[in-house]
Amino acid sequence: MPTDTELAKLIKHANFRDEGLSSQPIGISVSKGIVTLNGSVQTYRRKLVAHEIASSFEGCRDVINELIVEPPGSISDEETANNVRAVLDAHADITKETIAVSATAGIVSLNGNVGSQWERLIAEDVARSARGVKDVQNFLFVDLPTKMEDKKLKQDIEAALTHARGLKNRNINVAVSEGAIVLSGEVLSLTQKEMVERVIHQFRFREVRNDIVVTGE
Amino acid sequence: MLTDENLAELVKIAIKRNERAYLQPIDVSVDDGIVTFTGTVRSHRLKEVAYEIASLFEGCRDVANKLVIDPAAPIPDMEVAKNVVSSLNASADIESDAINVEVTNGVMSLNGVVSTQWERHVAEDVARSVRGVRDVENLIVVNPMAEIDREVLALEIKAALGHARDLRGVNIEVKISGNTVVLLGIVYDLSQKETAERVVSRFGLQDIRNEIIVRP
Repeated sequence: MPTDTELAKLIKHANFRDEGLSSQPIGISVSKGIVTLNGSVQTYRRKLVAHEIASSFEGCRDVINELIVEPPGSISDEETANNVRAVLDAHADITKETIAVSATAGIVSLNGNVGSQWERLIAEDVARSARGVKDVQNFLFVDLPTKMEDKKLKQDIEAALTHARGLKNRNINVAVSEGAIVLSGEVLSLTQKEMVERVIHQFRFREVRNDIVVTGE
Repeated sequence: MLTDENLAELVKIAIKRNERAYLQPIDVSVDDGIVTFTGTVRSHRLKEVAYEIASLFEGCRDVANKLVIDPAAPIPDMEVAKNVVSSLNASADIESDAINVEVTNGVMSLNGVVSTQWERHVAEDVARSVRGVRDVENLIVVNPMAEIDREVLALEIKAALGHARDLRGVNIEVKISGNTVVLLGIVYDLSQKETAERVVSRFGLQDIRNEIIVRP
């Protein structure tokens, strides 16, 4: 297992080696296996890549991604909003014209109603990857076709977790209140924490908070 | 461990229950822990969702995803091409304005020259997400094609795999031929296969062939 200093060095080297990140001013600090990234990158996709690189190393318990997206050049808010509009309208998984887009100083707001949490998250993801966008405020509301039952959702999630790969004998607490899920408990690795999140995303819910702690093996 | 029949049943239930109801006409079969999907879905993302669902289950060794993308309502090729062009133009990671787009019956070819593999990959990804696109042929060329020393690169990838999480004690063979990296070996969990691919994907090669076998 690498020490914190070694882990930081490995991540730094990998960032340097990456085509999209080598020229980005990314700060890396590691404390007890928890990696914090700060500084700025030019695009949202690069922010995700930085996260993925850090999390791919042995010894990384978790990643706190504080990177800021700082688009190069100057792009007017009107242009930014048009870019977001263009990618949303062309996207196969977004119902056309249900989402209102506005931009102020590079911060994009999404408003309107969508049919699922999935669509809500895709819209945000797609908006973030548009040219000129610094950040996104997602005010999209999920129009649930049927009323959600918290108790049923909790039971279904718990059942799914028992069948999930690599999660045997883990003690994960699932709390559900008005469609909002809070996860807590302890797992051994980041892979397990990510697995829990993948399981949750198969369900219909309003929002999720993952407070699971990775203890390390 | 689940039997193949049990696993198939669980995957089917999970697909049925999934909020993305467009996943419905999917056929699931399981043989020796390998889940095979056939049928059609409306979008590339939904195809990925099917993979994600299957890969969640204990006992799933791997997924053969043979789903075909079939947009709900056919969209004229002209319109699809227009949507791809406007998406590429609006994407923050696409710097080149020299990517040409052609569409025939929903199958898209991307042509042109970009300066990094990264941009080439993003262009394909953006194109795949567009409404009406069935498949993408990525003929984009990366220029300047820096001459790479394949042996050195293979060693670097090997070293990176050695530091990767969950891969301790696992032997993965790395072969580079042309612009393709081939991964071979045996791992005991699908997460390990995924991790190996994630590590390799950052080395700027054009294609990854992940032939790692999962054997619990």
